[in-house]
Amino acid sequence: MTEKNLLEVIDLKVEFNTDEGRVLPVDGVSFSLNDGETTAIVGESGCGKSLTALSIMGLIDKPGRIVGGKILFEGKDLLCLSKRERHAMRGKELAMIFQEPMSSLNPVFTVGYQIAESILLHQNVDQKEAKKRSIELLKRTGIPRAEKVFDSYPHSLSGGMCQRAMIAIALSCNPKLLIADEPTTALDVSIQSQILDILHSLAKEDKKSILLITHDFGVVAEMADQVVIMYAGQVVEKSDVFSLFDEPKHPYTQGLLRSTPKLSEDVEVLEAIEGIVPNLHNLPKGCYFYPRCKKALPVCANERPDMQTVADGHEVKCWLYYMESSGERNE
Amino acid sequence: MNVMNSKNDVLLEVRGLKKYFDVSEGWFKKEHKYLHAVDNVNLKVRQGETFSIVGESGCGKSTLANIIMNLIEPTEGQIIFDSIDLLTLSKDDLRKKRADMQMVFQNPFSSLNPRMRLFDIIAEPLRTHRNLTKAELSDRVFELMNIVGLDRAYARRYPHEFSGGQRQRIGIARALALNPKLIICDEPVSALDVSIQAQILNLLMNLQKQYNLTYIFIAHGLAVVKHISDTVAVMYMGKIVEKASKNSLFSHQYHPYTKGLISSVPISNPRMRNKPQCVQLEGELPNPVNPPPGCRFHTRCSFATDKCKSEEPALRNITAEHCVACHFPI
Repeated sequence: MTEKNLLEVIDLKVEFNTDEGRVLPVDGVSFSLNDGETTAIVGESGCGKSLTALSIMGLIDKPGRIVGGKILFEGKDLLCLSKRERHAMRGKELAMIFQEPMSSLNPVFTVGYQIAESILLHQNVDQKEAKKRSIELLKRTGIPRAEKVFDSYPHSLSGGMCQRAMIAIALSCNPKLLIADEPTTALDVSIQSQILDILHSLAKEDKKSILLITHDFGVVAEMADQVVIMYAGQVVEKSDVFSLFDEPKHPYTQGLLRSTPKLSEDVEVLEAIEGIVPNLHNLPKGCYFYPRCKKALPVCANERPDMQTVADGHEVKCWLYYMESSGERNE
Repeated sequence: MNVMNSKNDVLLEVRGLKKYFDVSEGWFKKEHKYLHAVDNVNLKVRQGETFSIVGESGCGKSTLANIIMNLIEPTEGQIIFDSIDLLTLSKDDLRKKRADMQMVFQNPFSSLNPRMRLFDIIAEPLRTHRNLTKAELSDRVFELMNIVGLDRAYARRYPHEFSGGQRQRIGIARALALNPKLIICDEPVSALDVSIQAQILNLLMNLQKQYNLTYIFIAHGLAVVKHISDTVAVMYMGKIVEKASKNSLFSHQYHPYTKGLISSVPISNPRMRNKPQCVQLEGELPNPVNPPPGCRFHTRCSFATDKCKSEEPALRNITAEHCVACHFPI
């Protein structure tokens, strides 16, 4: 009904020029994010999930560059905008929370200054009003004694506090899209659950659209509406969160879910995914997951699969389902 | 499980262990302040079991591990390893005894010397403690590489050429080199990707079965702890607040802190996302320099009474294998 795509990434390609040649750490990534929903991008380190987020923010810097694709935000292609136009959008329409709260805040400015900075930049208000709004934001993220924290420097705050301050900065101009890159990875479990609660209330009560980047399926299960699984720069599976957890299709997704120990169940031996993530300079000829795949078919060694729709809103890039859907399975 | 075939021999006992770091301030350090990193910890680790210590960052779990390894000198207490009090040993004897206890570190990127080749990293403890001929040495190193699943062709490579999981395997091979009785694993998988985590956990568990190793496993990931442990101790601000066999601890938590910790782990099931949390941990760790009087958890505990604010609860047994330090266990 009112559901529409706030963000649509189509065939995004990011290239890095290295001494050993060119690599594509993001290779044809497509996904969309509906207004008011939370989409999670899941994958291991080096799969390109953070680069995808940085591309959306327009923060890809040398030696990397975007070499293809489109990033449609409210129907506008962000990649066609000028530097100045992107600058005006950053912080106002799109905002980002980073993984390392301690190192993402500038240590030589007070927390309050850094929150007020973006308010002053994007909104037509005076210092006093900016301070008032900043303190309100700090309170909203659950910081006690917000007035005092406003004047303190990042080093005097704990990791959880810094992450709250980061969220306050990101929310300062009421952005339409919030990108959270591993927002809780560096935090303890009890603090993690407090931060997730804040994000949860942003998503549910304020209907904020959130792009969540994580490697933790627990966080995905708690937060996401849609899930995108990435491996070696490509999207290998896309689905809504329920059918992903009920019926993961791609052998990589299945492996990831099985190899994480869970509190709710006991297993004698974890089913690990053998091997390691392929080197981008030396990718397998066929499916990138082929060397580690337990269900590999002969075709997987030589040819790359395309995205296949296996159920309503559930897509997977795997030969197993290609065969099934086109009826060529028993050749 | 492992515990049964090992006759419950106690391999390591820690009694009344304390470590106060001097953080005095001011002119001539007039203001005496001590950080209570480890405060009166007692524990027994049985031969062949995995004893896990969990807690949030800053709770003193890594300090405790370092004290057991004799890398930090405790303020007070006894560490009895293999029926010998390590703190009474001379430097020379301690060095020899240390061959029986080894450590695997959290960060596989910084715990390997970047200027040494893989072969030399694994051979180093053998060169220090054993008098082996060149052939014996290389046989042993290649055997170790084989045990942890590293190809022997890698022997002449440097650490930077390996991925995180492979580096952790190197660290494990180095720890195994001297056939130790006890291995202390300080967050061995928390720096690794999920798919690699499972590989390393499986390796550690297989090695334990094969060589009857005893592990002290330091971690903050509760799901990992549940998977690998036999006994679990929960630490909060330098003290053990709950200690029990794995099954007993994960089926019922008596301490509100443990309950809060376990219920704050996100559940990997989207249909359970709106479950009400029975205990939510509010706030953050208080300053460890001036720990709150009474029960140290009372500032964050929703069940706290006046008694908790003034009187410190002792660790007491609820059942034979489950003890808790709380006035009003839930």
